Amino acid sequence: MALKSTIININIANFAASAEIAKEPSLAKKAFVVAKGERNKIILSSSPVALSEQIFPGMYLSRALQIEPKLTVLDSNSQTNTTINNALVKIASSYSPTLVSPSLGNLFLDVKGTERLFGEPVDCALALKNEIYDKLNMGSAIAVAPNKLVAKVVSDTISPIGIAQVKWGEEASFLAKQDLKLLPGVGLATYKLLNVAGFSQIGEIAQLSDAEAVSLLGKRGLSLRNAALGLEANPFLLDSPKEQAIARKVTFFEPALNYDAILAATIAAAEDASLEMRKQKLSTQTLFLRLFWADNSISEHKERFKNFLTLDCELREALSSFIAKSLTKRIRLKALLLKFLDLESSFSEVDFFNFENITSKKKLQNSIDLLRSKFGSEIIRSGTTLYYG
Amino acid sequence: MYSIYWSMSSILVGTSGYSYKEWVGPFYPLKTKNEQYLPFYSSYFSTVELNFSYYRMPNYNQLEQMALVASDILFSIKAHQSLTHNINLNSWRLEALEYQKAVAALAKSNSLSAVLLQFPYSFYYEVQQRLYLAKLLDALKSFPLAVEFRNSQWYNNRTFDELRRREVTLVSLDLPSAKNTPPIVDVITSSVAYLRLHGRNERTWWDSDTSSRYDYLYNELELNRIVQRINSLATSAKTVLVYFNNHRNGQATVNAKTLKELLKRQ
Repeated sequence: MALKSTIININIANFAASAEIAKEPSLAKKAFVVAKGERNKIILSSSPVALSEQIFPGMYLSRALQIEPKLTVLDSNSQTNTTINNALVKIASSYSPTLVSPSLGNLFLDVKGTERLFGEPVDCALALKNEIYDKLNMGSAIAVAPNKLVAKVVSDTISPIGIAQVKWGEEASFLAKQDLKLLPGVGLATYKLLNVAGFSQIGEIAQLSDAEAVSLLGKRGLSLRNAALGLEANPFLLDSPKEQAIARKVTFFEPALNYDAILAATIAAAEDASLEMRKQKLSTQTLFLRLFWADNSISEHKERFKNFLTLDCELREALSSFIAKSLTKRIRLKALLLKFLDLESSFSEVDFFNFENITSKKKLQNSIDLLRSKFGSEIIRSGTTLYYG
Repeated sequence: MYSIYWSMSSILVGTSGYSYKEWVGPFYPLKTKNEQYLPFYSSYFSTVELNFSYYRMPNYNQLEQMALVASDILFSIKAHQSLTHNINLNSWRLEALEYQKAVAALAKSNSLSAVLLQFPYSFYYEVQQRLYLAKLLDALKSFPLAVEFRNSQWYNNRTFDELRRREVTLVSLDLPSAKNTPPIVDVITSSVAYLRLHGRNERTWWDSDTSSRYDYLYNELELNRIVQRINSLATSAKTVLVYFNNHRNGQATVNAKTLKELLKRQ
């Protein structure tokens, strides 16, 4: 059985101030802020002592100095921030090589398969949290969860300091009672809209049907509803799905010239690749073709589609026109390489006018995939592939 | 008596309850009488969590006597069940007042570390329960308070923010990984961190008697992991209270002693 990912998110709140304390530990007991700006300086980050005196990031410095005249003010120092963040990454990388730091003080690690070294993921997270404190004098909020989205919500929930774990299968229930503004994708405007509509908790969005989500929130409704369920659109940690591809190469027994033959071969390859794609619960938005011509030249063609392609029938339709556009030479083809690019989690958009049709197509695809998984891809083919064989 | 220091924090280790007949042999020497339990206990541990107070309302004289007998240790005391499990919305204030008067004995002698409010799974995150909790916390605010939730719904940012505002401790738990048990959540909401170790007996957690439920002995690997958790709590809390509730056959005392050794070795 394949190991499931377990993501650890390290979240250092008020990173700039924390970085200054990491550099100079004596600052830990001082009321200080890191501020930026020319005329009216704005506070970027506050020390714990300053926070306890109600001096918060986003406040004008002039206002803060009224609250605490003896406040120490430091200029924003990008070099310090980078140095400390690099130190943080170095510590974290000894726990897992699968790591990204999308912003300062914010890291995601995938600790799948590290149990023999560090124990359960939560034990790994504890060791990491303690090492960060020990070496950098930084407190952190650390979350352990099945995916990045849930891990981020959890670390924001417990921030500034703490540790929490959400296990596989418990994502939706943990998110249910959290404040809506913690959900990625809910900015100020959306939050206000949802408040007016009577929503305040993530779980309330999770309960919306497809139609209700779209009706309330437009095109983003489905992705927000799915996020509220703890489902992540981009499950990959290191490579974004856009950098991943599923590929198949077809080499013709004899160089082919006939369009139908080439199309049949391509569709056969596509059916095989799409089974792999659907097993990973993905869809593709871009098709790529590299054509190896009999005169030893190579041409490449790419097409991005408006909608994501998931089912065989969708791919067949897309490939028909794509192949036709790509066969620009009157030369025989030796081989072709087909790639599915821009892969994303396969949450399909609802079609108000074609609900039932989509559902029955999905059911058919599921049945076909089941047979192919059990007996091999050749067990069932669409009619267009019969030319190639 | 002594405390173990890690960084700037004080870490106190003890057990949930001390007065168990079955501990005679495994922990108390044979023929130890009831009235000798507490003095003997206090020679090993620097704190104890009193849990008899859940079953019967304590009284001032009783707690005053305990504080005298074991003057070196700190007491955490569990709230009576009428305040947490069998709540009567018409009479709870009277119960709280009676409880408060009793616990004042520990506060007066500076031997009170915390009042533990442990709520059951059926205490849902609903409006009525939230209102009740707010009133209860107000009623007992003269004491250092610690709240234990068994229902995961309570583990949300609003709860944490409110507990921080009130400087009430959110109890950290070690439990079996069974269905409907709360997740691991260590969030510091006051200067005191409170860790309760209930054992990891998944098989008997639900649908069994109290004794079987807590029948578990942590092994050394597990205890070492618990040390990491305590260290993590100690980075942000001035005091860390640690109580073993796996009381069956004195297993709590075995684990508490081992844990103290592991913490000393750091």
